[in-house]
Amino acid sequence: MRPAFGEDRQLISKCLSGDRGAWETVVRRFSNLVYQTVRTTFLAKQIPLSRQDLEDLHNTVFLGLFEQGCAKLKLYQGRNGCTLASWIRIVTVRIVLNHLRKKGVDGPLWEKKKAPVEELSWLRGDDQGPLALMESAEQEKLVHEGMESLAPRDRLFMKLHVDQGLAVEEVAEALQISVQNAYVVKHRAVERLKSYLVSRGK
Amino acid sequence: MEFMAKKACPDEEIIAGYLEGRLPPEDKEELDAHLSECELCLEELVIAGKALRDAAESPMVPSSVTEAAVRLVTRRTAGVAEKSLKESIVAYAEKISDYFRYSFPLRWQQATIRSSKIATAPDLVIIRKVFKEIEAEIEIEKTGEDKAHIRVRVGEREKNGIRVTLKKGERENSSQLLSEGYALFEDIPFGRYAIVFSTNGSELGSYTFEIRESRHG
Repeated sequence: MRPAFGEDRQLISKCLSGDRGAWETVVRRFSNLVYQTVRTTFLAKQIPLSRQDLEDLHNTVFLGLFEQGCAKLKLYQGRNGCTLASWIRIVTVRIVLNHLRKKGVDGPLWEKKKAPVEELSWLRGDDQGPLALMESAEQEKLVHEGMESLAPRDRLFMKLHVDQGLAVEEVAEALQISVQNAYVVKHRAVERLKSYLVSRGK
Repeated sequence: MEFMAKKACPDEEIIAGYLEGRLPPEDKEELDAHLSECELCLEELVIAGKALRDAAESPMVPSSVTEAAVRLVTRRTAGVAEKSLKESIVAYAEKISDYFRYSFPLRWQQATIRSSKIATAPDLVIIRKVFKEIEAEIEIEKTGEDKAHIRVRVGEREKNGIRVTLKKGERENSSQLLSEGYALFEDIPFGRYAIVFSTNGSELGSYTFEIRESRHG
């Protein structure tokens, strides 16, 4: 872990000093990561991807790192032991998302996957739950109002689980928490949401 | 954390640190709060996490793509580095205000200009100035006590659409759209002025000067 971080810093230093060999090393070392990340980003957004798009954006990422005297690359500091690979991965995602937004083909990831309120059976309770007597649109509005009232951590969980449609295990991975902890967070968030809905229903 | 204090989106390193599980607890908590409100950053995090998880199963980059990128980076950044330096020098030179004082009869007292000057007569000075592909010629001719005509011409191919504005300090003295390729400002009192060249509201360049009577001695 640490040796890799030290190597990253050395490589960056060489790049910043104008060592063209170091630039080539960066491209070769991270080409696969950038390529796969570009690909994954398009697929995650459910946007058709051509080989040309993939190659163009792959090149755009590296050109962006080195242009203007490596201005972008200079921003990498390795705070908290952050690896260069992880940093470049985020840089790549941002570049691709910005590219898609400029092309006007972007939309929030989870709008396409939003779980219909009817599927949120755990909010209904056993009988006439708080949502039972409401119209669907009103239900959805109320659920999302309730989500906004949650604590940040709980709200984040629900956004990924409900809006994004990620399984609890996937949410755990995204939030860097254990699966067990994720189920605890889910339970807490659901209970709070139910309380909110009941209070609104009165 | 600085980024949270400003409610701005965090930089890539913060998101990467979160993804790697390296953020200190208090920073992670703050980022959670930001992610719960910022769908753009949350989207980034989710997609980056997915890219990390799917890496082993994703197709490998073709070697031709990598080699092409190496060539592109090496060639492009070398050329861009040289061009950027050159552009910087040119831009710097263009931004320097050409300030000079001259007096009648002609005597140059101070000049840090990058243009050529031709004095054709004791009461006439012609300055040629080139900037941003505009080649301009400025004639200053004394016409009376403490007054001068100022004629401004631009090159034949550039004359259309160019506006020439004579300014004294921040105040606009007169402005003309070039017709027949020249503008004339008549009987301008001695003083410090700037001639500003513009087109479609965008400034192309300016030239600052002062006209005053000489005091021999």
